Parts: sequence; C-alpha cells; structure tokens
Amino acid sequence: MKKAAVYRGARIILTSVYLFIAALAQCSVFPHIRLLGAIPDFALCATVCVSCFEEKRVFCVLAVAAGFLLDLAGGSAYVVSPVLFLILAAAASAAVDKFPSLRSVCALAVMLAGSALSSVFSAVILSVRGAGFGDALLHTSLPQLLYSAVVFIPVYLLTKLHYTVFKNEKR
Amino acid sequence: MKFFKSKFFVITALIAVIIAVTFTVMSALGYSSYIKSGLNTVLTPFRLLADKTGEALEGYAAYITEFDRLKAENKELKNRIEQMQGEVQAAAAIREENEQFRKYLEIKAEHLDYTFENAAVIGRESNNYMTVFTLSKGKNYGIEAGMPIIAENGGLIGGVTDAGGTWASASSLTDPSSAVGAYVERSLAAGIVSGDYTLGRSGLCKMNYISDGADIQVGDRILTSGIGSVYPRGLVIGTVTEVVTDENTRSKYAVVRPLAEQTGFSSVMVLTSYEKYVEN
Repeated sequence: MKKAAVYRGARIILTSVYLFIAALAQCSVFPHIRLLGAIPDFALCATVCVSCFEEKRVFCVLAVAAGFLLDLAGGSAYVVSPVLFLILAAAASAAVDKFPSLRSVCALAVMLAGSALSSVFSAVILSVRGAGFGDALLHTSLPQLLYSAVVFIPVYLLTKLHYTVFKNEKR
Repeated sequence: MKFFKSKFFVITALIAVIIAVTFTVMSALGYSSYIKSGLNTVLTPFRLLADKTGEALEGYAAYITEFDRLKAENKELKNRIEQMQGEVQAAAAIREENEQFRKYLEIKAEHLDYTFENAAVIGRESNNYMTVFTLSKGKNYGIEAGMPIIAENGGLIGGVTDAGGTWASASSLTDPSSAVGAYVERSLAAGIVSGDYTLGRSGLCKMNYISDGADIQVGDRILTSGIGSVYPRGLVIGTVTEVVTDENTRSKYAVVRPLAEQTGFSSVMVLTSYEKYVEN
C-alpha cells in the first residue's frame, strides 16, 4: 500500500515536471523554431495528452497550474490559459471515458479544438490591435493550428511512454 | 460527464476563473503582483537554460528547413565573389560604414547622460499576438518599466513594460501596441512610429501622422523625438524603405526598417537613465 502511494507520488511529480518543461519550452524554445512564423500550442498539447492518462483530480490541478505558468512566463496580457486548459483537459478525459479504445483520437480531437480556439483568440486580439481578421487568421492562426498538430504526435508518444513506465491504475 | 458536475471540478474551475480574471485585470491596470514577480524570479534560471536550448535548436532547424534555399544562395554567392573581387574600392565604403556603426557602439561616450545596463534575452512570447521578450535583469540592476532598450548597434528595440527583481519583460517596436514619437533626421519632419501587424511579419514598422507636405524620402534616418519623455531624443529607430500616400485621404505614412534586428538578438542594453528632452 505504502509502495503504491510512493509510486503514485513519483508519477505525479514527474508529470508536473513534464508540464513545467512544456510550458517553459513554449515561451523559450519554440519562439526560436517557428513554423511559418507561428508558435505551436505545445503546453496545451502536453496538458491534453496528460489528461487522457492521468487521474481526474490530478490533471485538473496540473492543467490550471500549467496554464497559469504559461501565461505568466510568456508575458501574456490575458491570463485565459488556466481556464482553457482545465476545460480541455476535462473534455479530453471525458472523451477517453466514453471511447477508451480511441485515446489518441480523443486527445487529437480535443487538442485541435483547443488549438483552434486559441488561434482564433490570437486572430481576434490581432484584429483588435489593427490587423485584418482574415489576414491574421491566414498568417497566424492557420500556421499555429498546423504547427500544434505537428507537435501533437511526438508529445502524445512521449506522454504514452511516460504512462507506460508509470502506469496509472485508476485509468 | 459526471465529473463535470463534481464538487472538485467546480471548485477547481472557480479557482481558475478567479486567477484568470484577477491577473488579466491587474495586467490591464498595469499592476505587477508579488506572485507574478516571485514566479518570474524563480523561473529566471530555468528560462535562461530553455532559451539557450532554443537558440541551439534554431540553428539546426534552419539547416533542415532552409537547406535548398541556402544551397542556391551559396551558389549565387560564389558567382558574386568573382564579381566582387573587381569591386575592391567598394570595400573602402563598407569600411567607412563599419566605422559609422562603431560610432553607435560608442553611443555612451557621445551621450554622457546615458547610463546602460546590459541584459540577456532569456525568454520570448508564448503566443502569436504579441512581440514580447524577457530580460535576465530587473529592478536589482535599476531596470524599471518604461525604460528604452537598444541593440548593440545603437538601434532602438523597444521598451521595458514590467520589471521584477531579477527579470524584466519588454515589448518591441514591431509590436502593434507600441508607439514612439519620431522625426526625420534630414528634414525634422515629425511623426509617430508604431507597430503594424502586416509589416511586423517582415520586421518592419510604420511612421504615421506625418504632416501633409512633410519632406520624407526613402533612405531617410528616423530618430526618436523625445516628446513625451518616454525615450530620449536622438535614438536611431531605423531607415525609411517606402513612403506611401493614401489616394483617398492624401495622408502619408512611411515604412521603416528598424536599425535593431527585431528578432534573433540575444543581448540588449537598457537605458537606465538619461536627461529628459524639454521641448522649446
């Protein structure tokens, strides 16, 4: 029993470190390796993938923390990620509960929905700041969505590997 | 679906909403919270490490994504080498230009009232709608919000927007929210240089509010006017690459290429003190 608790604790700590690195990478590493000028929703991608494997209560807290960290570290003027990440993580988890054999598809669908939301948000902010909405959608939102879809594959595989090593008995 | 209605989820969602609203409002009002400051202080070493990793990856990514372009460019450059051997005299002009740039490096010697603080860029924006970056130094080194940031070649990059003990965040000239009072060095025509979404993608910015009939040409140097006392007078913003006249309103604007490269720089100088410009 004690061993199981230690094992669970280690898994949660490692998952936290994983999301911490993901959030930092999004605002320090990815601005250097943009695709068509856009930064992917890397932290969102990692959070959604984690929520497909992790315990509900744990991922809820981690999703809020990851979103908060991302917005603060990225110097964002609008702190919306904690709410967005929590809702998407819960949605991904609910989708996996409904279709347990389609875990990767559920994660991809929710991640794309979230990334689309996030990229439209970027376009709205840009259009408020003077850019044409269509122009922003084409040159910023679309590359953001595409890049997020590209990074999803390695992120999902890495997350799966993490939970293969640290099995979550409750999922 | 049951989980969405659980007490735990509702409380967590409530906390997330409170966090989001509180920090967004505080940010909009220009307040920097202790939590934000503390978190950024703790994050500074991690971000420094992550940014160095990003810089290393940037080189590899460019090698992969731009290989064909670089190959073609290399071929073209080889052809041009022969051509350029006959243009040795042009080198003298380049040497002269280099001397000019060196003068910018000695900007401190020219402006005795300027005090600089060097800082490394340790983080950049996490989203696609802002051009912000984080510096490795903050209030502990005398860096405060509102201070101008210049590149090593003397060109204005932007300004500090927020500062904590060991960090500072800044926005660049190409950010659509930026605006700097400016004038044309040659003719003294005044205007406002601000970021523009479309031009910003090419690293350019816009000079607006140029009076009708003002003398402005391609190649003119644009300097800060010092009006409003946010930036000192005489900092180099960039060079005019295009002057556009709106056919309907007859109003003019100029496209400006900033002297300071707006992306890719890894260290900057923060102008921590200078004499405020007083308009006569």
